[in-house]
Amino acid sequence: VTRVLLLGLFLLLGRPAAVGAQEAVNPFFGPGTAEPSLRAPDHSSAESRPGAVTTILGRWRARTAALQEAFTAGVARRMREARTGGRIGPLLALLLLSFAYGFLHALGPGHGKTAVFSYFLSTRSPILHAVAAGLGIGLLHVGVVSALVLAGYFLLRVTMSALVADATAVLRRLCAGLLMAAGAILLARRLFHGHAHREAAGPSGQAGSVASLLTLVLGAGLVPCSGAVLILLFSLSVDSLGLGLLAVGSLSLGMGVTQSGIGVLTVLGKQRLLNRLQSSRPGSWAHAALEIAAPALVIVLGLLLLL
Amino acid sequence: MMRFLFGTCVLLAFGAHAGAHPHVWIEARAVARFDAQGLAGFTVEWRFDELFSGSILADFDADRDRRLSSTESEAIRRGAFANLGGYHYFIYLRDPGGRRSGVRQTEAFQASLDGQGRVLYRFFVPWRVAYASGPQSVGIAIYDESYFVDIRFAQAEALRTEGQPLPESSVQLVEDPASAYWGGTIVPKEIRFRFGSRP
Repeated sequence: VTRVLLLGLFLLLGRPAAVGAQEAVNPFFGPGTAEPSLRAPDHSSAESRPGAVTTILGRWRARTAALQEAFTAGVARRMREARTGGRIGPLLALLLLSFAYGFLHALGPGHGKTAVFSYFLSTRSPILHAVAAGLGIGLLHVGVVSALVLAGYFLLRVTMSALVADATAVLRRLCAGLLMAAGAILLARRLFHGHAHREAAGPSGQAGSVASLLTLVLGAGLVPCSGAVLILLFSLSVDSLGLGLLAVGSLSLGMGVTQSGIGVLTVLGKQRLLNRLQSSRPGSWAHAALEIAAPALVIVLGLLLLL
Repeated sequence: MMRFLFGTCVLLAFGAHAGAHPHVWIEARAVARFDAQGLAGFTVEWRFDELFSGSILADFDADRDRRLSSTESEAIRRGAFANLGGYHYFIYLRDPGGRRSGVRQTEAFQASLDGQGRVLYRFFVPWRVAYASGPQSVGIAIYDESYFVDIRFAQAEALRTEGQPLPESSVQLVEDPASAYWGGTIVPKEIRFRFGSRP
């Protein structure tokens, strides 16, 4: 039982650290990128044949990338149509496409999925919390971008892409702090009060407080969504800011659904897991380990954001 | 039961590797330029997808005439190109000895718009490989290891050489599995130019 769980955690952490936790950095504008990637890849080693898993992942990667390309091209086309046609059809198509794009987009790296997963693994939260957190993260993720672009366009009159990139660098540190704080609070609770609580409340653990839930939403959602920036700026380039705002609103709902889904799956999965573990002694040990490991993972995610 | 949980883990892990979302798409061309001494470098052209093109216009087409003047082009160079120096401009060169290195310098940057409203970047990558007594082979690969940008070569036109026709020269597009990135799931393509001794 623990082995399967550990394998799951390993899979989560085993992915490339650089893409594990953070929203993608736009290399065209990203500030201070110089050194880390300024290494000529050393490929002097003998050619290695990709393994079966890599090949399958590669194919999957190529498929989803092609799909995303089609989505972004579709968003651009529908926005033009909705702008010139004045009919409801293209607008609906635009909203649906943006929603689907958001759903798919949030499955990619970043966007705080791992934080959501770890948070709900370490608390005994109601499903409502998972739904609220997911939608909150989606809305915030896109809301920050919209606020920045609008401020850049109407007030500051600066290069909006650069403004978002600079803000991202700052917000990333803030999010790192928030995630580490959320993890530390959960961890401290486990270490100092966890035992007593379990005695009192049974092996179910405790619900995260509203404060810790908010910390999660802020920590995972405050980093601007790089996909939404492109859609908003494109809409500005074709004089359709209103359509752009509608599209990213729909995009944020799509992302929220993905995030909520992950939260809900985690909550349900944990309930079932706990029912299983309840009965045995090794099970309760595994439970204790899990409740330490999950908040620790949230802290690690915060640290990764700082890298 | 816990298959749920495991499924979530797998979904997340897969999502990370596989979702691998690029945000920007580039169709790239690279043309080798030769002079009296040998290879002088490559003229590189990038054609961007519609959304990114729009975002460049929103930020840099100051007079909103849907054309990029030389002033606007220079603003793009400073604002949306120079930073790529931290990423070798996504370009890796392979010398005749087979050693690879990242590009550190570019020249003659120019941004423009094509007929379909796509933004084009064109610039020169200086790289001297003098003629030798026998045939030599060099390569150029263009890809973003962070996979924010998905770059592919525009097949037909990529395979050209500029300037005078060279004896024994050939151009081919090959895969370079040793440079696979993004967890080994993406094998970049490299253009190999083979050219003979001084014509």
